[in-house]
Parts: sequence; structure tokens; C-alpha cells
Amino acid sequence: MSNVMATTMLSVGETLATAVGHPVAVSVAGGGAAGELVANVSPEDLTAATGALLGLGARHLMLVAYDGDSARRAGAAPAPAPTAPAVEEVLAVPDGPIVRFRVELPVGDPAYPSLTPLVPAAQWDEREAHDLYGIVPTGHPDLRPLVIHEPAAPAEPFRSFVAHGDGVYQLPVGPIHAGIIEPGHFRFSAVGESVLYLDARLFYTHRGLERLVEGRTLAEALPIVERACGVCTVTHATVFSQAVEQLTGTEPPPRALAARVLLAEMERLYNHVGDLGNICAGVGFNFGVSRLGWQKERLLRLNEALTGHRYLMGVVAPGGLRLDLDERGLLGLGPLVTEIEHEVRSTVRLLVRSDGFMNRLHGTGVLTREAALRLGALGVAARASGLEMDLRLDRPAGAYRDVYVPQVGASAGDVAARFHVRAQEASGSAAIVARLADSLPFGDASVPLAGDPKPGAVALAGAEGPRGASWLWLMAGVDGRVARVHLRSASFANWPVVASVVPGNLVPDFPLINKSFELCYACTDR
Amino acid sequence: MSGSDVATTVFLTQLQLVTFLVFAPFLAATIRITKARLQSRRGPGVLQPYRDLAKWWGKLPVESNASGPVARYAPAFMLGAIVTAALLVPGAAARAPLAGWGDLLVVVGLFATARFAIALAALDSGSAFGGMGSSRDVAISALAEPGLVLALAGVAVAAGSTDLGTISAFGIIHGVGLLGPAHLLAAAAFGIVIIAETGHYPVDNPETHLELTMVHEGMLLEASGRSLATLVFASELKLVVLAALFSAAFFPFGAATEMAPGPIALGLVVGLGKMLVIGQGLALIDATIAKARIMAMPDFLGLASLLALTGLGIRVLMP
Repeated sequence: MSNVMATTMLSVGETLATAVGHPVAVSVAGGGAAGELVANVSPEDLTAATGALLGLGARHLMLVAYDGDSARRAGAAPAPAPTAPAVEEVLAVPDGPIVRFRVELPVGDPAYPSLTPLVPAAQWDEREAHDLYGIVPTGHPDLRPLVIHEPAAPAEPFRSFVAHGDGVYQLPVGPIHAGIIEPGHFRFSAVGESVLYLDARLFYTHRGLERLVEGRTLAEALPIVERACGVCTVTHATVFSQAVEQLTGTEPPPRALAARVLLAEMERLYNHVGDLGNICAGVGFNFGVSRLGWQKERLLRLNEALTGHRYLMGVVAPGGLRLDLDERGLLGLGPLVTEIEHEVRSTVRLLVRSDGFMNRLHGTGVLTREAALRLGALGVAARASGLEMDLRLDRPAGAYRDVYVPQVGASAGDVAARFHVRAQEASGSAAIVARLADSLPFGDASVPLAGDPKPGAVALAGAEGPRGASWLWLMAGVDGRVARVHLRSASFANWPVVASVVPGNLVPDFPLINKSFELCYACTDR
Repeated sequence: MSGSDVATTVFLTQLQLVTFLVFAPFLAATIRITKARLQSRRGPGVLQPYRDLAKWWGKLPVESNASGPVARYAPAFMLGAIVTAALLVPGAAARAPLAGWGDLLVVVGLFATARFAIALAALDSGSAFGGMGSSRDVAISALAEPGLVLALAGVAVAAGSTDLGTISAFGIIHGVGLLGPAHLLAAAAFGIVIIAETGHYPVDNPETHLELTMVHEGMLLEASGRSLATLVFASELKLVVLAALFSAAFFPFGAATEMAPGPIALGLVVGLGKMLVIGQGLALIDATIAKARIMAMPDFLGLASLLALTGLGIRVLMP
């Protein structure tokens, strides 16, 4: 344990003791390298303890629930033991540690005072824990079903929140749409063309992936976690691999770490280029749609040449890479990516000169800095609203410690700001890819895992994906199996933000606003 | 009416009916192909709109539980109104096939009737998008109508008649001398009206899959089978009629002034050629600009009214 961590541990312990009125045992998790602290708190103390950390500027990362079954898979409880559920609230102190509050709940009455009134960013986490684990966050302002649409009591069917009043009408959209897109139900309350309120209902693609991997080996779990969605595969495979590497004490070779950064930036690049095109589609600007769609296709083909998969699946794995990057794919990568970036930049320059186009973007879908902070916005959405928030810079993992990542941001918080942030980040990613393609270290692409993880041990890993920071919480089971895994994707964090931004805008501007956030449904629903 | 007049009427009616009906899907196809090429896509073939119509026509419509007879019969009513308008507009000759049965105000009225029918059908389907599309479409048409009427009033004042055949003949006699500022302003206004009436950029995106942004497509979302075929065909035909109206009122050159086979054949070819040019113009606009906010429509269509009014003012004050 380093001295820095010891000091942090003591100061956090003191802060918590002052807040809850009695000493709180704080311990260092993960050997201290990850800068992670764990504290067991009682359900009654959770609010005060969380409040104390918020006072230090901490941000909500996730709230994960698990139960006795998880403990049993972790070898911690004998077979017919009472199944005590638990929740863990995870917060990150800026320039400080990540703190996990572990709250064990009574068996018959798994309730604790809700954190949502204090931490609005936790609203969906708590609803999910309520749906999937029966854990009751008392005092939660909106405990409607989130994941499981058909509740246990059919007398209380899922209801959308709507506005009432003279001339207010409801506009239900989806989950089946006129185009081929992911399913989501959006209930607009509108007057004329102005939106008063938007209630979003997702989780139509809930496949129970987290439950599916429980009890499986780490090798079996990887492809399932990776496929939570089709366009954040490197991010999800990386957070899973990092968590496994923490648990097993494995250090991947330099080539693998650098390659992961290269792949992550390719993923960001093709997503951002596609998203810029999608923003054009949101206003029906065919010029941008076709020009940027073409460049995205070129990037996908580079992905295929590099890894054999257009969406980069099956490459990143615990211990390094499952497959080394293709040497021929790597050969021309730098110049090609640079050329594509030039094309994208010239298209963006033309788009910005189109008054009709920019007129649609400016002032549309404004996310204020205050709202972004309160609701826990992540990624491009946060950075376009004046928040400096980028895991690559804030908590660099792996080769990001050695890579120059330009800081990008805007303050207007509207669609135009998100458009500009995306365009600049795409250029930054292309530069990183071009540099790494020429300087990838030689050597092995993977090492075997250093051992089996200790049953019951927990690891937390995060990575900045194209949509923001995705965090994965992994509890190891016996025989190198998974006891419980929880993936909180950036899309999960940002969906409530989208819904909150829309009121006050025009109904036909919703697709544009939605595309400017460009969130996944699949990795939200899991 | 003499015997030869009746023969001319019958002949022109048959000719115009057949060419317009056959040509309408073709015009739609050329617009789509040009748009696709401008977006570096190959695009569908020329026959695709015909295939679509044939496919839909072979299917019975699926009706929502909320819809009633209005949704069932309104498409035919709409198509009837547009077909009637098609016969009141000069095509191959400087004379409408059904000349004397209705002037340009009747044509404008028939367009309004058609729109009323499709808006009612969309409302009757009971879907939120139908209602939304109808309300937007009716709002846009209410904004476009002054421009349409004023632009046509300009040429009517010049020709001293609201009969479209007379206006055409007047234009052909005056030739290039017609192209004064008043005439060009009215033509520009009418161009904007064509964009709004046929649902092209920046007013509407005819190819969108985003329900919330739809205007015309929103009204078609609940239509299927024969109803859909009828509504789509009526919309394709409407563009042909509007283009014919545009060339008859503003650029009538090429239309036959004597009822002989040669001039009529030439007039027909030139008339269809002008429609293709108008279609290509719409495709070019569609491919190069973004759709405007719906709240910008009063400005855009107000511009049409303003141009037309200015043209009319010039004509009245400086004859």
C-alpha cells in the first residue's frame, strides 16, 4: 500500500466518521493500485456517507445490487444459507480514490433509504435493483418498473408519466419504428409542436446478460459481456479484461496495452464519424449523411483488415489480445486513417458553412452544465456542456498513461456543441491511431492469467468509450467463475439526461437531439 | 359546340389522361434516381415506382380498429380530385382538355379538396402520426395558398382571363417579351409553392423514416394496400399537374396553338420535358440543403406570398 493511499484512506475515513457520527472502517481494495477504497456501512448511514463524499465533489459511478446467490457462487455462503442481498454504491472522488459503500441488507426486508433524492444520477440504478433484486430504495420518487415491464402485480400496469391540461396531447412513439432502429417507447406530452414532457421507456432488448454470465468461466463470460451491444465492443471487452486482470494480478504485455488503445480509438473514430452523419440525417441533410457514411464504411473496412471483424469483436481478452493485430492491416493504417480524417474534417467544414444546417443545431436540445452534473451525464454530452470529464485523462489506464489525449470541450450544451465536440474528438482519435500504428511495441500480444481470482473478490474497471465512461463491476466466484457482473454503460447513464433535455423543444427536433447524444439501447438494456 | 370541338375535347382528354397517368411514376423515379446519384448511391431503377404501385394495388388495405369509412374512401376521392385537376390544365396544347369546364381557381380548389381528403383520411386512422401529419400539412398548405393564388392572379391579370388556355395562348403570343420582373417574381413564388405542395426540401423530407419529422409521410403511415397505392399515385400525379400548371401559366412555349397532330405531338414532348426539368430541380434542392424547422415555414412560404404580391403589384401599377 502506498503512503498516498494510506493518507487518502485515513482522510476519507475521518470524513465519513464525521458525517455518520461514529467510526467507519475503510479498507483499500485491489492492492491499492487502482486507488479504490471499500467501506461497509449500514443502510441508515448510506445517505450520510454518500452526502459526505458528494461534499468532496464525488460523482456517482454506479449502484450495483447482488444477493445470496452471488455470494454462494463466490463460495462465501454455504448452499442453503439465507440469501442476504446487498447493494454497493460506487462513487469517484475527482483526483482521489474510488469509494465503494457496501451495504448489506436484512434478508426479509431488503430496504434502504433511497439515494436518488440526493444523487439524481442514481435513479435508474435503483429502479433496476428494485426490478431485478427486489431491493426497495424507500423514498425513491419514481419506482415504476424499468427493466421488467410487466410487474408482479398486474393491477398496476406500467404507466407513462404524461402532462395534463388544455390542448395537451400525447404522442406515443415506438417501440416499433418506421425505420430500422433499436426499440424504445417515447411518450411525448405536447402542445402543438412544443414538447412539455417526455417519458422514455427502454429495456425492450433486455436479454438478462448479467444473469447469463453468472456461474460461467471468465473465458465464457467475455464474449457475452463484449456483445452487450454491437458498437462499444472494444470498450466492454476492455473493462471486463481489466477487471479480470486486477483480480488475477495479471499485467498484459506492452504491445497488447498499446493495441487496446489503438482499437479503442478506432472504435471512437468510426462511431463519431457515423454519429456526425447521423446528426445530418436528423435534419435530413443528405449531403452529410452520404459523405460521412462513406468514410465510416472505410473505417469499418480498416477494422476488418486489422482484426478480421468490422466491429472489432473477439480481439481484446484478459491477459492482452486474443488475436494479435494483422501486420498487413497495420501497415497502411496510419496514412489511411489520416486521409479519412482529412475527408471528415473537410466535410464538417462544409457542413458548418451551411446556414440551414447549423440553424437547426444551434440552441436545440440544450443540456446545462448544472443539469449535466446533477443527472450524471457522461462522455460527449458532458464535455459539450462544459464538464471536463474524460476517463482517458482523469484515470488513465494501460497505455493511455503514455498517450497524448487532447482535451476537447464546449460550453453551449446544444446539438451544435455536441456536433463540434464529436468532430474534434474524431480528429484526436485519428491522430492517436496514426501515431500508434507506426510505433506499436513488438513482442507478445498476450500473457496467460497469473492465476485464478480469489472467490468473493471484487474488481471495478472503467474505460472511456465513444459514448462516455462505461464501468464494469466484477465479483469472482469459485473455480475462476463469475459470481456477479454489472456493466453500467455510458448510454445507461445518459438516457435519463436525454429525456430531461427534450421538454421545451419542438417535437420534430427530437430525432436530432436524440442523434446528438447517439446512445445505444442494447448496452443500456443488457 | 361544333362537332370538331367535341372531337378535339375527347382526343385531348384521352391523350392527356393516358400520358399524365403513365408519366407520373416515371417523373417520381427520375427525381429519386437523381437524388441517389447526387448522394453517390446507385438508386432504384426507373420502373421501381410502377412496381411499388402494382405491389400495393394487389393487396387489400389493413385498417386500424379506430378507422371508419372516411379512411376507406378518401384516397379515391383524393385521386379523383387530382385527376379532374389534371384535365383542367393545358398539357400538349394551349388549351385544357376540358376547357370551359373550370378555370385556374377551380384547379386551386381541387388541390384544396384533395388535401382535405387525405388529411381527413389520416385523422380517421386514429394514429397520432396521422393527426400530426395532417395538422402540419394543412398548416403548410394554408401558408402556401396565398402564394399560389396571387402568383396565378398575376398572369391572369396580364392575360385578362382566368382561363388557363387563354393564359397559355397569351404567353405564347408574347414570347420572350413576357419575361418581365412581374412575371419572374410570380414564377419564383409558384416554384416555392410547388416545393411546399409536393413535400420537398426544405419543407418536407419525402424519404424520411423519422416519424416525428414527417409531414406527408405521416399521413400515409397508416395507409396500406390499395389505399396506399391510391394515395401515393395521387401524390405523384399531383406533381405532374403542378408542373403542367407551372409551364402553362409561366413558360407555355412549345404548346400547340393549332389542333393538328404534328404540333400536339411536339407540344406533348416539350411539356413532358419541362416537367423533367422541374423534377431535376427539386432533386437538386433535396440533395443540397437541410430540412428547415417547421417553425420557419411561415417565413419561407410568406416569401412566396410576398414575391407573388410584388409581382402582382408591378403588373397592376405598371401595366
